[in-house]
Amino acid sequence: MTRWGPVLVGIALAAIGVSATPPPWLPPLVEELEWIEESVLEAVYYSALAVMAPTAQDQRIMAHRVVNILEGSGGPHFEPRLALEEELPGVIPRLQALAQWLAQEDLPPGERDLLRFHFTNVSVFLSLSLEAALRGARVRSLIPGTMSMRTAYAFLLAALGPEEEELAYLGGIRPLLLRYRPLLEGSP
Amino acid sequence: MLAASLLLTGVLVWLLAARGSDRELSEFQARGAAYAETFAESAAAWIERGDLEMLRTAARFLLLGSALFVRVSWDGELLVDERVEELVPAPPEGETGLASLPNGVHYLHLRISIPPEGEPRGWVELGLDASWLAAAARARLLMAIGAGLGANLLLLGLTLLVVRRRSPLESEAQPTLKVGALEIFEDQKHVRLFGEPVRLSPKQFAFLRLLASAPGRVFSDREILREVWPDSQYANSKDVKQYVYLVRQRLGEVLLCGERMIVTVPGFGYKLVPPEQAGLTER
Repeated sequence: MTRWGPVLVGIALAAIGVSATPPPWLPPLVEELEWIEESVLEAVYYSALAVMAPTAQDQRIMAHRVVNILEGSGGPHFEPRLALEEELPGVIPRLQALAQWLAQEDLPPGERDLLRFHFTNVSVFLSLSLEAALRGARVRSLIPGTMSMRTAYAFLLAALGPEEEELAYLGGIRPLLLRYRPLLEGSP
Repeated sequence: MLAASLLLTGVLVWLLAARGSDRELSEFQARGAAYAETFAESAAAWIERGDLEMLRTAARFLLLGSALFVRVSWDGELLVDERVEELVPAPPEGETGLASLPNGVHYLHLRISIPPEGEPRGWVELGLDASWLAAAARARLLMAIGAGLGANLLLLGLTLLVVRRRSPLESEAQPTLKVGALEIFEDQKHVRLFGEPVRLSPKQFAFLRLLASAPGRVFSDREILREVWPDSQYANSKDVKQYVYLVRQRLGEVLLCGERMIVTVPGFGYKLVPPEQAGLTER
């Protein structure tokens, strides 16, 4: 990858037509992906805390925090008592909004298909993670709660995707950032 | 036996409660340490990238659960000092491990150096409320005592049931009359045939007792009426016949062909023969 990296980036630049300025959809895409990555990382942190939680009460609180981060304040399971922020946008709604917005943008067909593939997988992983976190937030004892939160943690990591491009079989937020961030940074 | 059972239950309750408490405490300590380490690792990362807002948010979030206080120090500066003010009015000092606040609140005091690897540049302190451990131990003890008492009551009930089922006649009383395998207990107004109880009404009992008073002897209707219905002017041979029929039926319920024990002697009356003599054996 190290050897072929610049070549591939060059080909990608040519493919999306970056010559002097980036296409108009690229900066907001990267910005949104960075926000999603940060939020998913926060959810990963709270999932880990829920797995390690010393009491069932701590576990439920941490699990609900994950639900809040994923669903946002407009979500059906949002728990305002466990939200320190007044408004949480929610990773899943933001991802859906991003996908809808990109569908309306004038993207090269290759990019459109690639983004659809990544977003579909990320969306499924986030939904599975939400489901597991909801289970973790509902159970009253530590052991089954720990199992649920381990599952949530695993799906969140899957949604993030690997940091190595060659392992990104099912896509993810990080592989997308690995692809698009250099394009943005490379533009004047 | 009951005293021994109570003693055994007491010992078991104590053992279970003590073992449960130890296990719960060690699990709480292990999970608490892992919980604090997870926070400490993230705290170091947030500090290193300058995201103090995230650090403070995460610290405040811990206070929503069992954390009583969270303190984070980095390069000698106290970056976070959050605590549940009502329970922890001042930052507690002292050793790590299980400790108590002046107001009696028990907590687990954890201190972790950060960053987790390399030269320590700071620390994270976490106090986790451990009061629930004592409450849980009390609840478990009460449950164990309840279960123990319940088991003892059940045992007592079963014992009483067995004692009641094993008739006192069997162990203590001797039959007043015995005609082969037919035993009559006058005081208890009870009859047994081959050890099985025979259900009889008072008149039926009186009739059978009369016949059993002289096995093989024929009792006329008049004798029977005089003994069984001493105060009745209206009882007659029909009543005797009916009672012969009923008592035979009762004997037959207990022993196959038990009715044969009461033999009709035509023109004279009725006599009782021992079951063995009537060719009857225990089924």
